[in-house]
Amino acid sequence: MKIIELEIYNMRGIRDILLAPKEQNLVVWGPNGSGKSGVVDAVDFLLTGKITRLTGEGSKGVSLNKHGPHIDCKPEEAIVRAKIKLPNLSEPIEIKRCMGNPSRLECDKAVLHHLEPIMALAKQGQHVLTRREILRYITSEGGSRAQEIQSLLNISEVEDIRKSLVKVQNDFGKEFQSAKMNLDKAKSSINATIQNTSFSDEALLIAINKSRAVFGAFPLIHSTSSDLKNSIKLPTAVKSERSVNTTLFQNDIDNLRSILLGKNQDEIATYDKELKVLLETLKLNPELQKAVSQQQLVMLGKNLIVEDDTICPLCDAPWSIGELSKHLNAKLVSSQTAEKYQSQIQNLSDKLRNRINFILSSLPKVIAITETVELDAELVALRDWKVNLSILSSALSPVTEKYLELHCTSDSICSLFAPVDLLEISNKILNTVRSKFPEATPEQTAWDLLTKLEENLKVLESAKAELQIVSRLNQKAHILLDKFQQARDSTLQNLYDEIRSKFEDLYKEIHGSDESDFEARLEPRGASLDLEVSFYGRGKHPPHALHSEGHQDSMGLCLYLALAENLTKGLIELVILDDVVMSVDSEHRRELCKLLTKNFPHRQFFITTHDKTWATQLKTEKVVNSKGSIEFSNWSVETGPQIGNESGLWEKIEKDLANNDIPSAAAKLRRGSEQFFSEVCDALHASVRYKLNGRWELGDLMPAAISKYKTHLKSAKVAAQTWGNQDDVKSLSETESVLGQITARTDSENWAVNASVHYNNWANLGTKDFRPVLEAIQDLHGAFICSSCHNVLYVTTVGVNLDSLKCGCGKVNWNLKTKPKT
Amino acid sequence: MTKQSKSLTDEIYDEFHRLLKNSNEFDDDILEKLNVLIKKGDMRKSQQVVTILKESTKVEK
Repeated sequence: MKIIELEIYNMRGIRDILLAPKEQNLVVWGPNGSGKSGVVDAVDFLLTGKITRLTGEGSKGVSLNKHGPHIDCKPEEAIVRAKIKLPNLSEPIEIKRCMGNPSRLECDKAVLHHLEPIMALAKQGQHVLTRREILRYITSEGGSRAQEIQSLLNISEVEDIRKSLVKVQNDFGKEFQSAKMNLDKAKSSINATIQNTSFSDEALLIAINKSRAVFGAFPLIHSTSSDLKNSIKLPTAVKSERSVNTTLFQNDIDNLRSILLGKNQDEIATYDKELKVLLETLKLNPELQKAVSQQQLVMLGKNLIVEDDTICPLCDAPWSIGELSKHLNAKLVSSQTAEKYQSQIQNLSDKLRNRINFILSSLPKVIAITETVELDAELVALRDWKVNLSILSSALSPVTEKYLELHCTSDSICSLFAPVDLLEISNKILNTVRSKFPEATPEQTAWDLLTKLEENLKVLESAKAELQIVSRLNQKAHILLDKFQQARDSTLQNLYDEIRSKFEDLYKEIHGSDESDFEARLEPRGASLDLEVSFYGRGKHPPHALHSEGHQDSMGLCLYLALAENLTKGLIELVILDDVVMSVDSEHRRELCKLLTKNFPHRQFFITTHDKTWATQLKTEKVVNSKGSIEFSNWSVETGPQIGNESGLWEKIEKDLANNDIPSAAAKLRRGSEQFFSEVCDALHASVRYKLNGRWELGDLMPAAISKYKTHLKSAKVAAQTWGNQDDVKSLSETESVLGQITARTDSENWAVNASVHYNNWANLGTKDFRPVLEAIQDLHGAFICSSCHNVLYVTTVGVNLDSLKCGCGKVNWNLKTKPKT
Repeated sequence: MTKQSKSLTDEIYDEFHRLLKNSNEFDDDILEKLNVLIKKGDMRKSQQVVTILKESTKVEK
């Protein structure tokens, strides 16, 4: 997209201006506070519906609705309109946006689909470079630079995806842990059924085959739930439906009572004691406690960042390059002791939890049967026990200080594992059950045991299958994240290599005279992007370490331009450079001009600057043509900036004359001529008396330009004579003669445009009085311009010596060097 | 027009796709689903990644 015409009404400091760059480059220049930024804001608003300058940090209390329109206008009166050229359309189109409805872009609906990708891209602001961004590329830390450049490259989505994949990996990690716990529980249930203390497939198979043998069934080789009752013919005496099996009930009671065994009580007391010592130690050592409690968070943080992230993913706090990773590593190292503690605590809590799981595998069944036999007091005791075990289990999953808060002595923790009167209660229940239910036959017990194991095995098989799936998912999630990060890193590395090479070339085009061996290192390190540049053969250093601000500005601009080919995807050729070379000196700016025209002929640059010399250079170096140099001046809140450019100078003066407004015509002629002759002085290397305030008037500029031009013509004639080029001698004599006549006329008339002539002096004069003045000065302008290319004549140099006086198209090309004497 | 015809993100996604394919961990159908997800910008939604991973594991069974 390029801009053909831009019209701005009542926006920011602008009242009403029309710019017509016609797809060419444009420089808007003028002093601070002349409204230049209003042009940048207007383009920003037109393309995005917002003004970036009014958003972000420090913009509290600032709004588009209130501060976007001119201070005296309503949002409905603030409008930007442009005629633009799109890459895929042969005809220009018109677009318009009003601050009364900033989200609505007015245009022909038929072209809307062409505009949408452009407007979406413009929202990322890739087409605007300000000094603020330059500083971010050059002087910022690697992490901020990477963020800035990645945001410019529009790959923030890539980071979003990485974070999403980290989340997937972490979620599956948690599911994996949970699946492992479910498997432990399923094993505990089997242990309780076959009255084994620790799980083994062999013990399970023996128990199954023992029960199968009661029915004469062949022994199984594998314990699978579907085969458990395979080929067993149920004897008629055996009831297939569930009822109270006194033998198995006895087993459950034995399981509960097993907790009372001295060995088990001792173990529980030991585990409890050791666990409490560890937890107390942690409690008395806040640093260690913190390390343990933060360990998971630190691990999570380590997973979320890649080496050298500079922004904490959890709290957004900024860090220097590599410092965050170093900090987390140090935390992990210092938490090695904590890790050891954590592992011991985990081990002890697992042992206690396995005991609880074992009891909880039998307790609900005993409770159910106790309810059936209506032993209310015992039922209450058993239910209380179950509640206590749940509390204990909760304090152990995961184990925390909550466990200490249970305020249990070693004895009372044992009583949590078993009520003190468990033996008495269990005896009473067992006796009651035996009295109410017949003793089970061995066949019935075998059948009921197989039925129970069948249920247990189904749960175990399901837990195993779940663990297998989750384990695979966990593995795949790791692969997904790993490959994504690899793809990102390798692609960005290739891109950064390209950018670095282009950056070096561009920078050398500007600073090659003193830094011909300039080299850069642009290297991603994790989420960071290091930039180091060579400094006069003394190794590579950060760009802001040794280079001047001017060099840094050049680097920022070159880095942005090196990126440019990867930006805007060919949809927006417009590049806005908003006051970006304020620290670059005049000679290097000249090289920058050449760089822009040579390397980016298809881009449309909008350049704003407060620096008149830079604006002039842009014109003399042909970055902008005469119509593309727009001066903003005399800004007032009521009128906005006054706009001047030489292209419309004569037409505007004629318009004033037609209105008989001689004072305005005289003012325009003087201002236009001051601008014109300042360019001429620069192009011809004319000497002008230095002024600290930098304000040269026509009386300073015009005589200096004429005098220097005459000197050059004289030199050219002398040179032509030494070369025996009589045609040139003749032609130069004619030029001198014409110039002499014009300057004679100007000398007699230039009083009219002298700044000291009072505005009112012209009020008494008419068009006829002004016309000779206008024509004389217009002819004088013409004497310094090529009649063919209409560009100002300029001198070229070789080293410190003048070489030629020429124009842009080559029609004027006078040699200034005399023939060497033999 | 600049030389760029493929965006940088597309380059990253294509390389990601290539690396996943070379890992032999995902069959073509799943790779295609992951590709569609990433190109649509939906890979930022972790739940959709989870769904595809679960589906890929189901296929393995």
